[in-house]
Amino acid sequence: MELSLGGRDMAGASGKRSGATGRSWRCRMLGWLPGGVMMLVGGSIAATAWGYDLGSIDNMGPGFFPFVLGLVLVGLGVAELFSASGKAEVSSERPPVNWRAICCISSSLLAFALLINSAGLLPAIFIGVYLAMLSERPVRWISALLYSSALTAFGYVVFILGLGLPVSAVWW
Amino acid sequence: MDLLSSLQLGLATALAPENLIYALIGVLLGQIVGVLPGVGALTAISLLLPVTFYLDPTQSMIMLAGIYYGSQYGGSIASILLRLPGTPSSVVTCFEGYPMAQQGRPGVALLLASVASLFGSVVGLTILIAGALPLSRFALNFGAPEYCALVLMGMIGASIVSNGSQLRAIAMMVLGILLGLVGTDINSGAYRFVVVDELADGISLVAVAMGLFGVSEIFSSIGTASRRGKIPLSLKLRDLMPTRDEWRRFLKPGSRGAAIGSAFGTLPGTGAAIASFVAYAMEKRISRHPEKFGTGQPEGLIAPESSNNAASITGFIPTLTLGIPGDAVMALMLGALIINGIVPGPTVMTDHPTLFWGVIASFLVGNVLLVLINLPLIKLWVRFLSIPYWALYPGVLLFVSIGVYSFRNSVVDVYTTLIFGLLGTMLSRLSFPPAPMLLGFILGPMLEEYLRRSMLLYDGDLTVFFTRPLSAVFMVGACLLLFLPPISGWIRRHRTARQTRSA
Repeated sequence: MELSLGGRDMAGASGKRSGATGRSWRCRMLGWLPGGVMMLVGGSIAATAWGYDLGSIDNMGPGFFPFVLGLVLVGLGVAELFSASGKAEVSSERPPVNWRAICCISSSLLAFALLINSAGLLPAIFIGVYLAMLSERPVRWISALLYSSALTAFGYVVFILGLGLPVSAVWW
Repeated sequence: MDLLSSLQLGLATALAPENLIYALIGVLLGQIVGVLPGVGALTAISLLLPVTFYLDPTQSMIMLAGIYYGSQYGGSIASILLRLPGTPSSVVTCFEGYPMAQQGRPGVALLLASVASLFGSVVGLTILIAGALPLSRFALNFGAPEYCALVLMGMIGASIVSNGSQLRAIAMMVLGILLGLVGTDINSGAYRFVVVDELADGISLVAVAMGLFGVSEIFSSIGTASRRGKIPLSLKLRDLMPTRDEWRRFLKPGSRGAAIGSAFGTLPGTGAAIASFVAYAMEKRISRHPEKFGTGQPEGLIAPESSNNAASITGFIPTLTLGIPGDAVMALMLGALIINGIVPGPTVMTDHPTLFWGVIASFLVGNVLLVLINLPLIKLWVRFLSIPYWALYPGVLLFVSIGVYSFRNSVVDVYTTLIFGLLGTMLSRLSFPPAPMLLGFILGPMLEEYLRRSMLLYDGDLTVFFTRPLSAVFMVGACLLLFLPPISGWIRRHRTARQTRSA
């Protein structure tokens, strides 16, 4: 069942020059990443849970279950490090990371979150949508402005007039 | 109250004008939302959950259920026309539906999909009606250990069926449980992992779901989606109808798909997405021309569509009668019920007969509505999808941000959505499936609660899970699910290694 969703570019970026094993230094380093991260996360969770009241098995405190789960995660991380899939899989068959989209959309959501309480819903929508539209290349400055205004108006009608959302439209 | 009068009550409730309207709204909204890529039933239900606070429980359930199966069909629309599956259960639809559309027969694919969906729904509904009563009576035998074991089995079942490494799926599930524990511990009132004050009420499920699936999908779709070209589409009626031969090949795949879907739907921890994959795999395996799959075989379209609808309907069985959701969407429905003051469980049928039977009857009504609406709408759907992606995703982001914010009037939730969006992208790059995490997030607190209660009742005796018969069955099932795939894979590798050595 070969499925490549929506024309994604499957000839992705590969790492550095490959060595004698045919896999690059970067690929090999990344192979440890999943297991290592799992162990790290599990370990810190268990450590944090140790600080809560653990209780006993017949009267579990708030820390018991998280502690056990943290240890389970550490165990899974160890298993991941040893499993075959962890090593073989980090191939270059991956679409390139769209950093531009990630930055623009992230800043869009951040702007929305920062503005909605301080400046109101409409500025939040306007700036948010505008920043999001900057992730498309080529950037269409004017049509993005127009579309942001359109969506702002739409948002006002639907959310404030229509649904009566308890949030101020603008800051004045 | 016997079955016939219950059904009568249900139909009367479902066909009442107000409820009919909500079913219609639900189905339409679900379809529209399901069509938008990256936004599926999960997002639709999360977005519209706050709206249902203003409706009474029956109406909100009817609408939410309509959104649920409406979105599955909407997902199929996008899947067939654009190869952008709108929902996880529509991924399989594009295997055969998209080639069919590319050959200039999108209307045929859409029609087959909608009729197959109705077929699957009817079968699932019959099983729901026939099985709901005995199953709920059976459910009264369930104590805390049984629930704990069942939840465990369901969670393991859900994580192993996803593609890719089972180990990572389980790790994601564990992580999800831990995230679900963030907040205030119910028993002691202690704060757990509360880094900012707003998290004292836990991480918002809506934020997690939207971020993990919606936002991360937008991250990956930008750029690639807009590079896609337009498809030549014919809107003549003759080209929109399947041939007689295709109708003749309808019944068997439809029934097989419905059977598979009903089985998966009834088991908690599995859902429509998994059911559709299994149905497709089965059709391919028993077909006389498996090599033709991928070029527009109707069987490969009918069976998954039938199974995902059957699964979505029978998925309500464990949710309504046992209070254990079958997948993440069911878990949200469960949440919706609880918010509305209804605690699902064996007594829901006797305590709230109008709600229960009304919702069930509205499944039938809603699915029929779906087919009836879509017959003329097929042309419209085809045209709607020519909205370029650059206009689509800002709108989706807008809805996501406002929806998440307004759920708890909390800016922290918007940050959560962003964090989980980034997390979701990173995780899928590293081949860590995000879906088990969501399931763990929703079911984790439940698991802890039942485990705690079992241990309290039985003085910390862990063997109780194996000494009580029902619980033992589930625990054995969980162990089998967990250990059978890697063991059989190991045996298979061993056998092929031995064969190649002797060859």
